[in-house]
Amino acid sequence: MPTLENNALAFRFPEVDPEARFSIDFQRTLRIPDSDRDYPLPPGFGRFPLRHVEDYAALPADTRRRGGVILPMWQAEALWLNFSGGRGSDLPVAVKVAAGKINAVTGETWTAPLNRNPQDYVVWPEQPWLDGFAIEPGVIRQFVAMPLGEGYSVEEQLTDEAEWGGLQISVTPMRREVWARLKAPRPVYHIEPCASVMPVPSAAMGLGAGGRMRQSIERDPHALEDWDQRATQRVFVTLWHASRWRALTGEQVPTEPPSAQDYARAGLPWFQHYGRGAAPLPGSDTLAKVKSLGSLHQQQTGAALPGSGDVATPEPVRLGPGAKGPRPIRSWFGW
Amino acid sequence: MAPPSEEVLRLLAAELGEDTDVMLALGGKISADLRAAILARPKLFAELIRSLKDMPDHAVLRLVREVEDGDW
Repeated sequence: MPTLENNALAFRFPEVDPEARFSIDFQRTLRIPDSDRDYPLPPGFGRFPLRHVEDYAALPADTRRRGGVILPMWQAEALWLNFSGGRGSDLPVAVKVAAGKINAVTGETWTAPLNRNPQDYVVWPEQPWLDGFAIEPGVIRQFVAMPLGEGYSVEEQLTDEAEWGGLQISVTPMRREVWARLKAPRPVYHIEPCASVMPVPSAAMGLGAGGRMRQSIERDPHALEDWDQRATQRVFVTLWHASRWRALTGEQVPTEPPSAQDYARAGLPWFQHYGRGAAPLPGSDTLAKVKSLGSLHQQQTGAALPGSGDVATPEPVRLGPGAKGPRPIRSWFGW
Repeated sequence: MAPPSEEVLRLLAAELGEDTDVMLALGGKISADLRAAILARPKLFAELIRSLKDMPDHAVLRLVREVEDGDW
């Protein structure tokens, strides 16, 4: 099972490689405008705090039963998943990500095994980040949190239920013998562009589909048999409304992130990841039909979602391939 | 030349995508939060660190609490 270290989930697979370590942290970021325009990658503003669910008896029974970790988010706040490896070992891993148990790559309901037709997982280190739901080749819709039960989450749109919310993640290492074969030399790639007396009322959040962003979901360059699915580790990430964070944990409430408009006004950079030249996955037809947060908000309230106006973005800074170098993470006033 | 400050090492680690604690250790420092934790309970942590210092990594890591998996 993973451990929680410095607000990141750390996965180790000593049976495959004693040095191997893979971690996932959840980066705060700005919500990109929800329009017809495809935006480049926004920066990270630092890690969301993560806490063990089992430490909070005041959480609802179903949340405690799922185990895992809890993370505070504001309504309409965005996040991205930052993948990284350990020093000295880049053991490849297959990462399955779902929101409300809807697979973020295929739009299908969560299943435990890795599937190839269609590929329902991403591969690290080829995929250094995941920012949203795959809707078209090279385009995702940003992960944006909304309270569960209001009809905005992808889960609710596809299942008509608000049962799970949160994020579900599994990590599968490469089989030991395959890794031993690949470990040296590395290939050369061409670069192209409960018990509580006073239970806290549920503040569970789900992820909806935000604005369009240019991000490819890379194809698995390995064979399906190369993954050691007996060694898969998984975790449930409950998203908790930030306004209820202090009541639950006694910790300071995270401040709200800057808007895309604030960021653009400050003239700060945006980013573009260049992969290794292989065609990306096509994206999910199911996810492509999901309504974006902006269009749902317009439909439900008759008003535009605040902060949904397009912003000017300079030529993005190029990162990659493999982009093991970090995607810049900036501090922001008020953090 | 004096080693860089903790703040500089943190920024350097963030810029390079390296682990902050490892970067601080390379500069001969430990982070302020660790220092504060040790100073708050010096006897307990001194004993703990001395008892763990020669143990292999996998044995130390067993002491780090795992994220519990449940029913979902």
